[in-house]
Amino acid sequence: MKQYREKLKGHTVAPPTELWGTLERELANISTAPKVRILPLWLSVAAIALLLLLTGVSLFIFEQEEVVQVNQQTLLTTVAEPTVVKESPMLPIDSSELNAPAPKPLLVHKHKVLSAINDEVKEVYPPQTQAENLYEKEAVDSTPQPQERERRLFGNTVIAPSRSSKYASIPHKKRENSLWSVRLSGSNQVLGYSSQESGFGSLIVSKNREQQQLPELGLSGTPSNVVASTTSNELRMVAQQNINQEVITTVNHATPITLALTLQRDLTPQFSLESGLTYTQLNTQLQSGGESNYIQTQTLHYVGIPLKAQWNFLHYNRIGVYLSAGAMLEKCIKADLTTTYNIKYEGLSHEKEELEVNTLQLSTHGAVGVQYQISQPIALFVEPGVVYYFQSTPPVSTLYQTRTFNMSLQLGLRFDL
Amino acid sequence: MNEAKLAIACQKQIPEAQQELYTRYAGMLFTICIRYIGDRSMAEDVLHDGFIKIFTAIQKFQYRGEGSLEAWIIRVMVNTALEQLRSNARSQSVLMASPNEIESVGEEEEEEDVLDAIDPDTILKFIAELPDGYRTVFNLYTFEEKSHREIAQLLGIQERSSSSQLHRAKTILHKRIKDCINGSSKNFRTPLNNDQI
Repeated sequence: MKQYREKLKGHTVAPPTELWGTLERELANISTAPKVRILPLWLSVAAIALLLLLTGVSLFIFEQEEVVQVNQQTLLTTVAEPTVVKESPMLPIDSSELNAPAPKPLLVHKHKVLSAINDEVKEVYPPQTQAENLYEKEAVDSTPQPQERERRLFGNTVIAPSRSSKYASIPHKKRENSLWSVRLSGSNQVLGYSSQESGFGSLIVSKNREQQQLPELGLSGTPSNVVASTTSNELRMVAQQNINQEVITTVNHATPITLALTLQRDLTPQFSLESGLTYTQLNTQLQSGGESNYIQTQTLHYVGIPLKAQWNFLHYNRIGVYLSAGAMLEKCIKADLTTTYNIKYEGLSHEKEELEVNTLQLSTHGAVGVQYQISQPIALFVEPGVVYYFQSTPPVSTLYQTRTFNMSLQLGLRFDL
Repeated sequence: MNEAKLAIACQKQIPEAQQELYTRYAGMLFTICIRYIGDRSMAEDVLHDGFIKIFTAIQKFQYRGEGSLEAWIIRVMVNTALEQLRSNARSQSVLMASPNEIESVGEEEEEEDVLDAIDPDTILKFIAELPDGYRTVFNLYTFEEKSHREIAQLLGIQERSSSSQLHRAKTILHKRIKDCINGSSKNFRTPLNNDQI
């Protein structure tokens, strides 16, 4: 055997001449730089950009709104109060009117509003067109005994093409009698987590705090905190294969996705409370060793109950901007750990076990939200925000412990009930 | 440029260093590819794939003294070849010598000093012409110095199967080498075309 080895030692066969050229071209197109978490980075940049944009837009709109409010303060504040309609002594609303086209209830709003507006406001507006007049007439006719002066003002206000009219025509939040809405959303923690340490490691966190550091594996020993239930025969084989080299453990916590179904109730037109159920999946992968290694894949399923308060501070046409803050309590309902042992890249064995993770996880979060009213009952919203996970000590390592402070991006739909 | 510097330069993806590494090792690695794969054009593909792996995975390489880069490169190339052999085995039935052929080559163990009389190219050709299964075991045992236990783990076969395949590979090789020497002494009655390698 040795003779064969000796005989072929240093023996070379000239490779095809064109091979280097091919390789050179291909290498130019392959980036071998260490992997960068492109998506989360991109997302975090996008989230920051969106936040800045929202702040900018908000400031701009605030400024504009203030100008209008100088002249139209009464109009705006009154319109923003949908309950006014029901209190109107002049305009009782029957159920058929509620189903009428959108402008009609708005006319109703203004009718009430106008009683508070003085004649000077009226003169600001250009004269009404005939068509609008007809509509106005019809609307007014349906009201019992409107006074002449009010009727004139009413028409004038509706047709006014000024900015104040735009504000006035906002379907403020939802239909007048709707206090509840359902929110269906998906969110993403923007930042994942990757780390590299030397020595063997495990996702199972030892109860002994001192052993939480990934232990170096001795020649005969096995790391005490690597899945205790394994026969550790495979582990020993992996360890033996790595005897002559430095062992690296890579841990990668993927960015989790959360799905949420919540109910929201308006307390006032500006403030609302929200609660419901969320589901989050946390995926983590750990790899220890080189060509011979073991890979742990951990999946945790969390169900959470959020409680959030929302302050709607701005409306412009169909767009609303709000601040949201709250807390969430999560519990792990299922946890799996799959360990695969590889010897020289070749799968040796594979085992799956269920873990018991009973720790409760409390988090708090804040976000800026912007929503767009697609149609009367449906709105689309996006909420970039930040989240903080309070310290907890589950028996496994998760993203919640390694990245307690994270950014989140939530996207969803709101249906008014 | 010594190995350490070459490795660092390749990790920095300096084209000149990559070319230097290629020039330095391509010939030796091509021998390995032929030795494992047998078929020359397939060995070229493996050489290509192996180099791509070397240049992309070199970021993870840690220098541990002179010779460690070469050892690492060989390991990557051998693994690439083994992967290729495995995928071949999946797509077609593994080329194994028929029982008759095995019996015909005899079982006796002989000395290997006959190798002195023969050139490396011919030996490489004979190894390349072994059936896939025998060749893989023979290569891993002889050149990578793996134990039968390790070979069994690597190839997913029984240890006993590994040792019997090795034995048969040696027997076939020995017979071919002997035939070759005898042929040479009889004025190349069965000339070998080394150019095919």
